[in-house]
Amino acid sequence: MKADFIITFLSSHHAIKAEKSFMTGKFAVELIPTPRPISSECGFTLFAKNEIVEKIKDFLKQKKLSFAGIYKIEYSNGEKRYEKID
Amino acid sequence: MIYLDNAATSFPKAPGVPEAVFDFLKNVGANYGRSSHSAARKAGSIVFETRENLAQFFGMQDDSNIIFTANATEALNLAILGMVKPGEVVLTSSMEHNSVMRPLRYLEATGNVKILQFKSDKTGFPDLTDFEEQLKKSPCHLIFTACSNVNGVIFPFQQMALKAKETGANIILDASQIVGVLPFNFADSAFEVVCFPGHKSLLGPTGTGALLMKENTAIRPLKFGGTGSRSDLEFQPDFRPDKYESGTLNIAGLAGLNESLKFILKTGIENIRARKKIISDLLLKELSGISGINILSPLGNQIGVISITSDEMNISDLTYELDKRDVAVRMGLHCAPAAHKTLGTFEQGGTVRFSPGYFTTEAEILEVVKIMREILPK
Repeated sequence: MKADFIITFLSSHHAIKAEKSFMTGKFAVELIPTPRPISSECGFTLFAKNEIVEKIKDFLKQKKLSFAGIYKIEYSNGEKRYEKID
Repeated sequence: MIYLDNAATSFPKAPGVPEAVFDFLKNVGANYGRSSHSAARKAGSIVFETRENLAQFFGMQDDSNIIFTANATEALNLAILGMVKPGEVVLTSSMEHNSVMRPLRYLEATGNVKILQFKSDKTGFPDLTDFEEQLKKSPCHLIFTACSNVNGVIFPFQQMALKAKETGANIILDASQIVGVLPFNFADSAFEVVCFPGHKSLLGPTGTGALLMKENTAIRPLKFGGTGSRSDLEFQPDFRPDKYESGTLNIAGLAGLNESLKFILKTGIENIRARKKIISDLLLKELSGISGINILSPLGNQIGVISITSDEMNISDLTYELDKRDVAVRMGLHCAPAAHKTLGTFEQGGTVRFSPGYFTTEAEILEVVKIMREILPK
């Protein structure tokens, strides 16, 4: 099922590397400031809109991209909640 | 000015380098890895792209094994102080720069580290029989230069590294004079660590350098502090490159280095090597024709760093006269007393070093030789 996801990274280097790879792989991703409820790991986080999580996981594995976590974004009453799924 | 001091730092830099530094300072200006605004993203992209281009240059798969430093000296200090442990034995050459010898002597004085040195012949070329004899003493580390910064002699560093690898030694290479001139694939090499500056033959700005490391190589950081990552912890992160890059990087310098790397990748390292060979061969040939000049550099197997002395004039007067005529060369010991002792030029205070660069022209070389003939007494 399609949803919005956040992928976090240990450092900006890994975040920028992932952004470039995902864009080359034709994913609709955007580098955004890391939402504070998630972590203080690195300033940037990759936002993937309307994606399938398995596709994201497969791509991360295939390209050997180092990441810290994957979160699903839940929208309710105008607020965002982040559910860690990996 | 005719600039023949490229072994110290290259000049001019590659096309686009000054503009890239200026553009960063004028139009970007932000830090990397900390903030999350657009300017910080731009700064991050510059650092990332520079690392990617270096990875391509050295045939590396994982660019996080490239650590940015301020120069080759910092990279060598990181490697030597971070890898050599108290009581260990280190093998090095008799042609080293002080950026290798000083950290080693510091460890010898404070950490009970034993230093072995293999001999070189009168041209600085390593005595490979002695090298193999020293390897029999089972040094833990082989730390050596690929090429002398004093007389340009090129070591058979790949072959030597393979020999040392058989003994299980950990190998660190000072590649300061060869990177940007000789092709070098790090991934396929026997080296654990390679250190080099960005501002010499890579034609980038001063204040740039890097250390390349293998996946399984363990180095203790030289600096501890802010990295922009894992800010919740007061302990140094253990992932690369952040583990070794505490403190704000020289992003303006890296913006320039990125441009020079693009220039070198486009030009082709073989073409750069061929061009440098033409120029240094011409300089060697012309200098050989001036009576009373002693050439301390080998005629072949040479990177383009030429040291001389004169029977007619001391090195400081010669350098002064050249400078008065707008020719930039470097005299003295070139931060390499060991190399000058090997070449027999230590006692007299060293040599005059001519180091042309990729952009040096034949006309400039001929002009310098004409000036030399005018300066030196008949």
